[in-house]
Amino acid sequence: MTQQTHADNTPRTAVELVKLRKRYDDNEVLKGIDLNILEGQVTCIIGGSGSGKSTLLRCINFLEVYQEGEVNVFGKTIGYGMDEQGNRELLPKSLVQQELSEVCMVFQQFNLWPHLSVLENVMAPLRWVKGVPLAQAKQRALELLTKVGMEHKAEAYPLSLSGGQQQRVAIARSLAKDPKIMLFDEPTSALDPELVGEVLKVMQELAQEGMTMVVVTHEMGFAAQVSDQVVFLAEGKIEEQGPPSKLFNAPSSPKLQSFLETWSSRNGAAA
Amino acid sequence: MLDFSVVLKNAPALLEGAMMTLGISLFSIALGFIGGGLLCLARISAKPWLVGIARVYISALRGTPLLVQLAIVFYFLPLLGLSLEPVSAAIITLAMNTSAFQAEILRGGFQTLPRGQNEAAWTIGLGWWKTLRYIQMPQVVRKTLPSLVNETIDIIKNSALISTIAVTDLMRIAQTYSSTTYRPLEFFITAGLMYLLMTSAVAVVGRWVERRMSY
Repeated sequence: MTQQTHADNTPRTAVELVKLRKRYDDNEVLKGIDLNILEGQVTCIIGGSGSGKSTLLRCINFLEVYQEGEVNVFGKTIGYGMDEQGNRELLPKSLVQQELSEVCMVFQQFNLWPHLSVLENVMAPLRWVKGVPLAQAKQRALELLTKVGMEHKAEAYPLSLSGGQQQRVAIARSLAKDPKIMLFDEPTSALDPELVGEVLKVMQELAQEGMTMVVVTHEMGFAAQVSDQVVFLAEGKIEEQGPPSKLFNAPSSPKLQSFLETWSSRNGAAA
Repeated sequence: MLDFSVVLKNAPALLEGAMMTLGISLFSIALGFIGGGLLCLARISAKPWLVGIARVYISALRGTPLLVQLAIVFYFLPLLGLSLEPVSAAIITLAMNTSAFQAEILRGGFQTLPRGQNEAAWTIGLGWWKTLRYIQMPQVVRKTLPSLVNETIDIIKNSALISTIAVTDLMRIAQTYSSTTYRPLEFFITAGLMYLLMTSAVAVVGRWVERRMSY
């Protein structure tokens, strides 16, 4: 809300949510969300189950169709255009997909394609979306796999890998699209506890390189250490937002206080 | 007493009939795969009118006897000025019939794909056609291969019905020679064994392809 105008040295807004509302039939899941996400920053979205945090993330890349408000990515409204009468109308899927060329997503369930090898999964955006020639695509895919520490499994098939390995491959596949904004939907929630670290490490490196990241997570340690901004959602509204030091050390909302208390009692010492 | 010497004497005709059976069946299966694929896409599309057309077509062709379908195509279409050779009528009918079954088989395959795979394809930037071509179809074909092989075997067996519209397939040849030689048992046993040979060959090839395609 404060970054509408910016000088040359301040980062521009990557994602802007304006009075975003989303409902399934009569059940309103997002009740008017206003949020600014700056380029190069890491925003963690936390909240209990059913708070709408995954829905919010999925509205950004239009996996969920929102009804009211706006999702703007680099100033362009996603999913809707104007018809001749000036009314809002849903854009065709192919156009929406073009608008989202700077955005990619990593899923809780990895969603690798099981019939393709690790290398082929990572090459998919290069070969089939960007039309990169085979040899070049292969080289780039291997670079990305090296980046996530998975180059030794390039020829393996996804289902033969551990969850942590699959998720790292999924991150490499997303990076192959060369996005400016990466969305992470509970990327470590489906992992065995001992595999969480390897995925968080890759994400932390991405953050250090300046990737704009929006992360829905239950990893409070990661949120506290890596994020520039933490957003606490409750019942479809932003209950509190700010820098992690403020939210984790001096939460003002009672809902956030009790959320953090529950979390730390369940997880031992909080980060 | 069984005497297969008459069968041996007429082996070339039987082989010709078998080739006709196999040719028509495989051609119908291939056409039916294309038709079934399109039908399946219509059936799972988001457009209600497309879904409606596909549903009516599928239930009509799955819910009526193949013999009736053959009779309609062969005897009734000419009344509308659409006169067909027996072989063409047989291929069209078998292809239409199997397309309905294959559409349902393929639809079952699509339903087993987790939605997340499509979501990943969407976020990566793959459009509808490329998602179908590179992500969905390879998996659907692999998953449904055993059922598709089954359907091929069914069509080879059911194709015996095209003898009723004067196609000189294996069944027709067997019938003709059994009545002219008064040796029905010999000819029908031989025809049965030849059908078995063809269906077994399809099963063997099917298993081989299945093994090659597993991941």
